[in-house]
Amino acid sequence: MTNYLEVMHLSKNYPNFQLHDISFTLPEGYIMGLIGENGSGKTTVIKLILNMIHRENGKINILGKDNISEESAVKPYIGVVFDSNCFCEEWTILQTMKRISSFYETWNKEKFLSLMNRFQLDTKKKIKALSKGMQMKLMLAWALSYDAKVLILDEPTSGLDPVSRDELLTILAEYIEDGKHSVLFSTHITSDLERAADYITYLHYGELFFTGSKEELLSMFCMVKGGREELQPEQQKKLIGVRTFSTGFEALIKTTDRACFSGMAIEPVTLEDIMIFISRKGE
Amino acid sequence: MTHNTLKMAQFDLALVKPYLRTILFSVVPILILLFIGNGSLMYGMMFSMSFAGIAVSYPFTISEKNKMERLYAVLPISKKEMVFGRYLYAVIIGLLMLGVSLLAGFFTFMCMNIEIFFTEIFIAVIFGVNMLECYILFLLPAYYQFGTIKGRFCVFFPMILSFAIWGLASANIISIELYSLIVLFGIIMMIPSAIISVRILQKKDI
Amino acid sequence: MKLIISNVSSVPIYEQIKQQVKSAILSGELQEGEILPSLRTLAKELKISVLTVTRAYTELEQEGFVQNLQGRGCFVMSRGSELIHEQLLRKIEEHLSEAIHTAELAELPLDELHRLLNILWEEKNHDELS
Repeated sequence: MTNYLEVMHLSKNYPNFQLHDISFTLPEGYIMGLIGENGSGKTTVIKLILNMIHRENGKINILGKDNISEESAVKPYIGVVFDSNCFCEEWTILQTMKRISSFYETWNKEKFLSLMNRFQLDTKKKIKALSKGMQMKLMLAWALSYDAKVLILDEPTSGLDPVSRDELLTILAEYIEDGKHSVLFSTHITSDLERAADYITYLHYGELFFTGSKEELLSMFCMVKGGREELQPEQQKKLIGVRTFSTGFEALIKTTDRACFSGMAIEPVTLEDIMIFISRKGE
Repeated sequence: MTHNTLKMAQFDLALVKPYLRTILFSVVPILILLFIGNGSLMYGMMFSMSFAGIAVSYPFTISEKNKMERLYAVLPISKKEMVFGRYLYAVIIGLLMLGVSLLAGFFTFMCMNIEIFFTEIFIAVIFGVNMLECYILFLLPAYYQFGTIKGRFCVFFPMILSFAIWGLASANIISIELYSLIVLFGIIMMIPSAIISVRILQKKDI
Repeated sequence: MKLIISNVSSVPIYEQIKQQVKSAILSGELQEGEILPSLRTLAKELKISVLTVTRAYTELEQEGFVQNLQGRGCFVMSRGSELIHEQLLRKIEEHLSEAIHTAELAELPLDELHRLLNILWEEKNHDELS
């Protein structure tokens, strides 16, 4: 099994934020969700992968090659979709693609135009005339029109309507279907990943909270629900984040602790539950 | 590697193209008025090359406004190619402005039946190239280091330098031959200036 | 083959896939030697993760219902129906053992238990007919 992206002991220091010892691996043919609250370091990780900023420590391999020393060899195989437009807004779509396609040996013009058709984008329109959803689709079409093996998406769905979000997920599913492409999908909207993600890397305040298969993460936790009076002090200690109502409480617990809560309702968790309650930890 | 450099120069020219038409249409009439008013190529040249200095900043301002540094980070080009491409763009834009002002001058003086001598043309061209290279040598690294908002303050230095050198030449303190040598030297100095700009860009966190 | 995944069911998706494949084998919809949809194609069509489908297929293979031939696909095993039958029989045994245990607690004699079984069977058949 080839690993398309390997991040090893990555660290970065900013005055107000530290990214500390992040390691994860994305194998060939799968989708990895990079999740975490706003400010947890997801965009920092992506910037480090693209060599936009300098790292304090660590190593990043893309398709087996070092992302800095072999940057030119690696860049033709990476596609990126940002959370906002990165093109000159005075250009038309056609002008933009004419300029950009010249840098790629493997540029497939027919594929690009067919994607424009599928996304219903008028190529004579100026970039600034496109809605946010259209801009995202344009970046996606750019990434898909050359031989990119790794697709990195940085918060592509914030501000998008549900139809566009669904279209994106459909495209991603097609992209990895042949088993020879991988996706790194960074988002704080976990509902997009609940079904589609194979692996999850969860960042929490710049630290690595978890990396592994989504199933593994989901099986590590469960939700416990019950009446407020039922809660014993020893049980209270095991709660990771609680939400209390007038009629009771719900909380996240480790699955290994579920025996302590016999008699109360235990339910499976979603990624969203985990993120919400981990953030509430300490409240 | 040269190929990508050329593509980046074309890229920068394409960035600026929408604005170029407006510039030319507003610059040319003013040039003609200056030529009519002064009967010499110099003042028109000063004016058009100042514009070249402004045009040099356009790819920077447009890239900053559209946050295109993310695009540049994804494209398979090296920082060296990006910088050298931009220097090439600046040279092309400058030569374009030079050519435009010469043509406008020839046309105006032809209509006015004024004869222009070779020395006059030579001095105007030398001055124009000198002003352009002063802008390129100093402004480009300044823009890479400080961005266009802060870097703008550095605009005056190249302008004053090129005027000072021309002043020395017109006062015959330096000969025309020395003036030409200085200009030639400036052209060669573009390479170290570009290398400095590459270093600046490589050190930066985007 | 029909495969419907429910998002709101508390049954995990890989389990739903397994159950539906097993029902298809039992009902004869999936014949012995027939090939299951390709792992990645199924994942794409249902818009679920590849690993989830992989888990379902792997567990089906471990339980003996299908066989995964590298590069060719997942084929339904000949003993598929029999295996399901065996699993169901085991379940009946478990439930009956529990009923017997409960009957002992209630001090219900064996012939009463038999009578109860007959009544419930009749009721069920009657419900199904009407």
